[in-house]
Amino acid sequence: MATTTATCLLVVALLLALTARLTHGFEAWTTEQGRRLDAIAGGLQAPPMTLRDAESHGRIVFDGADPAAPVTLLNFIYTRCVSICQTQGGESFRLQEALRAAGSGRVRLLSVSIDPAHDDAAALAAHARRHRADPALWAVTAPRSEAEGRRALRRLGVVSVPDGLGGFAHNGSLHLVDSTGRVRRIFDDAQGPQALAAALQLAEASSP
Amino acid sequence: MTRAARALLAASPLLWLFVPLRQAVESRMALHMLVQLPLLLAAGWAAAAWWPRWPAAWAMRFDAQGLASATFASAVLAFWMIPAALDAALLAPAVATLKFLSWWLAGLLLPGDHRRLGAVPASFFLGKRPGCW
Repeated sequence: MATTTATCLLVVALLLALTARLTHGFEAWTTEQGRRLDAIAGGLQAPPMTLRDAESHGRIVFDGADPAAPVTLLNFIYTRCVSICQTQGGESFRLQEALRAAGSGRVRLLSVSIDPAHDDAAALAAHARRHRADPALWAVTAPRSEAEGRRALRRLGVVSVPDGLGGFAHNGSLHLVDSTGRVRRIFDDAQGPQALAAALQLAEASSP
Repeated sequence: MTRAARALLAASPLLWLFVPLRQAVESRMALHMLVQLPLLLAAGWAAAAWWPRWPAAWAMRFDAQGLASATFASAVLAFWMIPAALDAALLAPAVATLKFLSWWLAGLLLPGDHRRLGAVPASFFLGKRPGCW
C-alpha cells in the first residue's frame, strides 16, 4: 500500500508541477492571460519577420536594427475571414483615423496575415481597400515565408487553428510592440483607444 | 459491446491522423473537449482488451485497489480542463502528443481499475455508495 500511496503522490505532484508551469504559477488559466502576463513582465519578444505588402514591397520588422523604428500596434488577420477580421478591420480603421488626428509619426498599425498561402498581393490590396487603409499609417501585410509566419505565431502564443472549412479560428488581439520588437502590452480588439493611448505614450517616452 | 465494435473503438485514434477532421474538431473547444478527449479515453479502454495485463504482483504493489489508476485518470481529467492546456496542445506538437497519450493511457488503465477499485476509493472517485458495486 505504501508503494501505491507513493505512486499516487507522484501522479499528483506531476499534475501540480505541469499545471504550475502551464499557468504561470496558477495565475493564468488561459493562454491569453499568460501572454498578457508575459508581455507586462517584458518576456514576450516578437521574432524578426520579413513581410510583403499589397505592392509586394518587402520589409523586415522587429529585428531591433533601427532604434528609430516606430512603435507598432500589431494584429493578425486573414483576408477571407468574414467574422472577427471584419470587426478588426473596422476597429483598425478607427484607430488609423485617431492616429492621424494625434499626428504622431512614431506609431504605426500593422496587420499580418495568418494565411500567407492565400493572401497574395491582390488579396492584401483588396483587404486594405475594403477597410480604407492608408499605407502611410496602416500596413496590411503577409509573411514572405509561411514557416516564418508560423514561428512568429508560436513565439507570440497566438492561437490560430484551421477550422476545417477553409477558415481559421484565431486571436484578434492588438499587440503593442516597441521599436526593438518587444511586446509591451496586449489589448482586446475593442480596446483600440486604450491601445493607441499606450502606443503614443510609449512613442513619446522612447523618442530620441 | 461486440468484439468488432470494441476493435473499431480501439482503432479510433487513427481518425486524428486525418488532418482536416482533427483541425475541424480541435478548432472548437466544445468539440475538442466533448468529442476528441472522451473518444481517446474510450479508445484506451477498448484497447485494454488486447493489452497484456500487468503482472498481478505489480498491480498489487503500485496500484492497490486501482487507486493509482483512478488518481491518474482524475489528474488527466483535471489537467485537460484547463483552457491553456488545450491551447498549448494546438501550439506545440509535444503537448499534443502528451494529450493523446495521457487520455489514451487513462482509458487503458480504466478496466483494471474498475474491477479492483475498492468500495471506499470508489465512493471517492466515482461517487458510488459503498456496498452498491
